[in-house]
Amino acid sequence: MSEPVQSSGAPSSTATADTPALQIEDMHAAYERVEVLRGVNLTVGAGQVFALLGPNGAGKSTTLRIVSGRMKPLRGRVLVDGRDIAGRSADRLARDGVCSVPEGRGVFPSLTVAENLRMWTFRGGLRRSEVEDAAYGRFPRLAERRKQLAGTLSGGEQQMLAMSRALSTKPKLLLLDEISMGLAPLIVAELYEVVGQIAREGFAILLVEQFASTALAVAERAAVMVQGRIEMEGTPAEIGAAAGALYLGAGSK
Amino acid sequence: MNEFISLTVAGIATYGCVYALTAMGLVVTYTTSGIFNFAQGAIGMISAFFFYELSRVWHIPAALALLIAVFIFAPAIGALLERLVMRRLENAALEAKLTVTIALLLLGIALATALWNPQTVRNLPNFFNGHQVSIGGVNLTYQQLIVVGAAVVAAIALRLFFIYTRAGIATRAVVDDRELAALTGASPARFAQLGWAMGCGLAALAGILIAPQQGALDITNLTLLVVNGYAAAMVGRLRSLPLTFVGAIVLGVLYSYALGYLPSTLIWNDFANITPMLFLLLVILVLPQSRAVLNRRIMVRAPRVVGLRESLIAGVVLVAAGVVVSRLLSGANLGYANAGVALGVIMLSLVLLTGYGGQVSLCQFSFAGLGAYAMYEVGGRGGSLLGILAAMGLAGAVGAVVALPSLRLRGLYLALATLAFAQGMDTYFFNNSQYFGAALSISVARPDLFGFRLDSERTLLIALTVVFAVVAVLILALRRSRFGRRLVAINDSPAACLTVGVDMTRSKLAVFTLSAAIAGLGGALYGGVQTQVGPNDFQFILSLTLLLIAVVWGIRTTAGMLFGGIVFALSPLLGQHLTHPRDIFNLMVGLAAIGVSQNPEGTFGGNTLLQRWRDSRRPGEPDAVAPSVGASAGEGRLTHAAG
Amino acid sequence: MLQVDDVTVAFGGIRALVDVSIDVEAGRITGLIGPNGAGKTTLFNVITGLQRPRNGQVALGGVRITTKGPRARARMGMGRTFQRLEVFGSLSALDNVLVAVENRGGLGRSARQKAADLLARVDLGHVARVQADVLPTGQARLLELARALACEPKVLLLDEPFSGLDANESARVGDLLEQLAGEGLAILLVEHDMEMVMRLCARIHVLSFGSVIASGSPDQIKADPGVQEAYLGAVVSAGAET
Repeated sequence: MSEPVQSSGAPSSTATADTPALQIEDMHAAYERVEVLRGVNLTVGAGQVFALLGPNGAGKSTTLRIVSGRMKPLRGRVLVDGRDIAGRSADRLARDGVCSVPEGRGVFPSLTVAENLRMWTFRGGLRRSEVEDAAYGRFPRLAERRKQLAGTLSGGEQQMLAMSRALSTKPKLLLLDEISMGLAPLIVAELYEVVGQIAREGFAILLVEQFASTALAVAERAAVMVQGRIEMEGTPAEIGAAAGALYLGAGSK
Repeated sequence: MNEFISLTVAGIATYGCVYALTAMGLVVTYTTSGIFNFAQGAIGMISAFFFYELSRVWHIPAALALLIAVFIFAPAIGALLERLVMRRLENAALEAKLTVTIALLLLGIALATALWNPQTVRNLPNFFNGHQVSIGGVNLTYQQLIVVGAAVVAAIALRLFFIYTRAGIATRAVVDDRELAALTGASPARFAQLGWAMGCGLAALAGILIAPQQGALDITNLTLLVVNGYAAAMVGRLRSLPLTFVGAIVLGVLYSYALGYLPSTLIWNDFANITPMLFLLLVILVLPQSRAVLNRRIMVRAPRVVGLRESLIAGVVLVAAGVVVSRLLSGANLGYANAGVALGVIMLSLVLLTGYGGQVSLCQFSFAGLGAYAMYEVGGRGGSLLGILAAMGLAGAVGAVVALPSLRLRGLYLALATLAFAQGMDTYFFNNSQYFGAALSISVARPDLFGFRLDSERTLLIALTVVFAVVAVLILALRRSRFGRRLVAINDSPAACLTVGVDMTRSKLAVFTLSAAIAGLGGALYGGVQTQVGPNDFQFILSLTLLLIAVVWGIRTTAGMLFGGIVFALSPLLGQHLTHPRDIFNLMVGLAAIGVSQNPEGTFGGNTLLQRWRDSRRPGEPDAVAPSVGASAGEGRLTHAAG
Repeated sequence: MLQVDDVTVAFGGIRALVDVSIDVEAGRITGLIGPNGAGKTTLFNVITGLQRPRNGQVALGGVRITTKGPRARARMGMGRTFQRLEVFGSLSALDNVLVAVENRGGLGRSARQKAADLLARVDLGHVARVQADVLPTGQARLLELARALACEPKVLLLDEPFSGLDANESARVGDLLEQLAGEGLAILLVEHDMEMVMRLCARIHVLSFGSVIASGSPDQIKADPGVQEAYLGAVVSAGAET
C-alpha cells in the first residue's frame, strides 16, 4: 500500500503527498503527577496504517488523547499534516478532519442511529445524505435500525456505527482506540475489513490495539510502546515475532 | 361543578403553564451544563421588570417588547453567565455550584432593587386588558389563553428543536457524552451556552406572563414564585421535558384546588401555600435514586487537619481577642459583634454537615429558628441552661426527622428537599401566630452562663466568643475523631465505604442531627442577642445566604465561619449609610460568591495565598512525594484542562 | 473459601457475564485474566455485592451471600481494591486505613498503631500523613491494599494492583501477596502483568466475552490455544488487503 495520497476527500489540505499525516516529537505527558509518556517519537506517513501496540498502561491511549486534542502534553510537538496542533481544541481538530474513535464508546447511546449519523456531519463540509449513504451502504444492518437508540444496539453494531464516522467523514487522520475490545472475532473481522477499506481510500490511520495479530494484519508499520516510550518499531512481521512474548510474559513462547 | 372547572382552568392556565415554562428552562440548563440554576426566578423577575420598562416607560408595543425580552435580553444574559461563570465550574464540588447560582439569585434581587425602587408601584396590565372569552361555558381571559398558548408552543418548539435540528441533536449528544461530542466536532461549551440562553429565555417568558397576575411587580415575590417550578422539574428528574410539563400542570391544578377548596382559616390557607413545597418533597422522596456513584478524583487540596494543641491555642486567643474587642467597641457596634459571633455559631453547623460530610442543607436557619423558639419557651421559665439544651434538643430532633427520609438522597436532591422543608417552616411555623404570637415576634431570654448574668453587651460578647471557641474546638476534635474520618470517607468514596463495611446511614443521620443541634444552639444565642425575633430573622432565603457566605469563607474551615458570621451581621451596619442596605450587602456577597467559581475552596481553604503561606512553613510534606516529573502546581490540573 | 456458581449479569440486554463459575481457595493466589472488557471488574462487583447478578450464586466459606449487601459481605471478611482508584481522597494515607481499622472495632492508640503497621507493611510508612489524592497512582494502589487488609479479610480481591507500580514496587507487592497467601488468605487477582500472574498464581481462570474459557495452572493456561487466541486475536482474513 504505497500509492500516494491524493484523496478526493481531504479538503483544502496544504500538505503534499510527502508530508507525514502525523508527526509526534519528544512528547511527554502526565496524569496528575504521574508521568505516562516519556519522550515519544512517532511518524505516521501519508496514507499509512500504523499499529501501536503494547501492554496496558503503556501510554497508547494517552498518545491518542493528545493527538485528538483532549489532553495537553507537558512537552513536545504534534504535527498533523505538517501543522502544529498546539492550542487547538478537540472539536476544532475534529471539524478539521482528525477523526478519533475512542475506546469502548464511539456512539451516543441515547441518540438514535440516524441522530448519531447526523452528528457525524459536524465534520466540515459534509452533507447528511453523504453520511447516511456511506454508513448504510457499508452496514445495511444500521439502516434497518435507524430509529433505534444506539445504546440498545449490540456491541458489534455499536462499533459499526462508530466506524461509520471514520468511513463517512473522510478524515485526514483516523485514530482508532481498541475497536475490537470485547467483540466477537467475526465482528472484529468485519470491522477490520472497514479499516482496510478506509486505508485503501488513502487515509492515514493510527491504530491502537491489544490484539496484536489482528492489528498487524492490516498495518504497514507498527510500534510497541512500553512504559511511556516506543520500545520497538518496525514492519508488522518484525513486531509480530515479538508480540507473543510481550503479551503472555517472557516465558510463554 | 362549575367551580371545579374554573379551578381546574385556573390551575392550568394561571399556574401550571407558568411552572411548565420555568421548569422546562431549568431542565434545559441542567442537562446541558450540569448546573441547577437557582437564579431561574431572578432572571424571570428581571426580565419582567425589563419588559415593564420597555412597554410602559418606552412605550414599545407589548408584542415587540415581549420578543425583545424573551429572545434577546434573557438569552444574552444566559449566554454571558455561561461564558463568564458556569464554564469554570465543571469540576467544582456541588456546594460551589449551588452557591454560585444562589449568589446570582441574590445578585439579581440586589440589582433589581438598585434599578427599580421598590417603593414605586408598577403595574403590568394583562395582555388585551383582561378581555375574556367564553369557551364551553368557562370564562377565560386572553391573558390565560396566551399563557397556555405560550407554554404549549414552547413545549412543542423545544421538542421539535431537540429531535429535528442538528443543534438540538448536538445538545442532547453533549449531555450523553461530552467528550465524544467534541470528537465529532461539536463544541460542548457552545451547546452548554445555547442551553443557558434557552433556559433564561424560558425563565423570562414565565416571569413576564405571571407578572400581571400578581398585582404590582414585586421583586421578591416574582423571584420566589418560580421556586415552585423546581418541583415540576423534579418530576422530570431534571431530564425529561414531557414529564416536566405534565408535572407542572398537575402541580398547578393541585395548587389551585388547595386554594379553592381548603377552608380559608389561617392554617389551611397556609397549607395551600405550601402545596408546591409538599409536592416537591414528595416527588424527591418518591423518585428512585441512582446507585452509589464511583469516585471522581477531584484533586482538591483538603484544608489541613488542625491538631488539638493548635485549636486550643486558637480558641484561647479568640476568647482573649473577644475580651479586648469587647472593651474597644461600644453601643451598636457591640450588638453587631454579638450578632456576628452568634451567626458564626450557626455557620459552624455547616462545617460539619457540608464541609466534612458533603451534604448540602438549605434549611439551617429553620433549625436556628427552632432553637430560638425553644429558648423562648423553655429558657424564659426554666433557666437558660435548660433553654439551651432544649434549643439543641428540639433542633436536633427535627433535624433527625428531616434527615430520616432524606438519607437516601444525595447532592442536589437533598439540598432541594431541605429547601422545601425550610419554605414549609416559613409559612407553617414562623409565620404562625400560634407559636409566635399575634405580633409574630417572641422575646428570647439571654443566657446566664455559669452564674454570670449576660445583660451587658460586653459580657455577652465574651460569653459568645467562648461558646464559639468551644464549639469550633469540638468540631475540629470531631474531625480528628473516628466519626469525622468516617464522614469525610463517605463523602470521598461511597463505593469504598461500602466495601470497607462502613454504616453510612447511621453516620449521615448522626451528622445531620448534630449539625441541626448546633444551628439550634446558634439560633438560641442569636435570639438572645436580638432579644426580639420573628419570622424575618429565620426566612428560608437566609439559609441560602448562610451557605453562600460559608462557601465564600471556606466551608471546610472553622476560622472562616467567624469571619463569615461577622460579615453577615454587619449587613445592617451598611444600612446607616446606604439606601438599600440588605441589597448592597447581597450585591457584595453575590459578587464574592461568583468569585467562588475562581476559587471553589473559599478564602480559608484551598489554594489561596493563606494556604501557600502555610505550605511554605511546612516543608517536606505533600510536595516531597511528587515523583520524577517536575510537575508544578499548575500541571496538576492537566486532567481538567483536557477536552 | 469463595465460590461463584453460574453467575450471569446483563446490562440492558447485553450480557456482561455468562454462567461464570470460579472458586478461590484459601492459602492461594488465584488469577483472573482476560482481555479488556471481558467482564473481570463486573465479576468483582458481583462478588462484593455492588452488582446484583441476574442469576447464579456467590458463597463465602460455604455460606450463600448472593442476597447480602456489600456491607454485610465486608463484615464477613471480604476486602477489595479498585481498578479505578477509590481512595478517600481528602484523608491522609493513615486515616484511609484507620477508617477501616476503626470499622472493625479498633479504637484509639492501638487502632492508630495497627493502621501504621499496615501502611508499613505496604511500604507507605513514609507517606502516612500525606493526603491520599496527592499520592501517585502506584502508592494509591498500595494504600487501597492496606485499607483492604485492615478489614481483616478472609478473601482479598485485587483489581490490577500492579498497574502504575514500578519494577521495584511490583516485586515487593508480589512478595507481600505470597506472604499473605501463606498466612491463609484467599486472594483473587485480576492483573494484566502476565509475568506476575504466572509467577504468583497457583490457578488461573481466563475470562473472555463474559465466559470462563479456561481454568488451570499457569503452564496449562500458557499452552491453551484458546487463550492465545483470546489474547492475540484470530488472524483476520482482512490481512490479505494490505
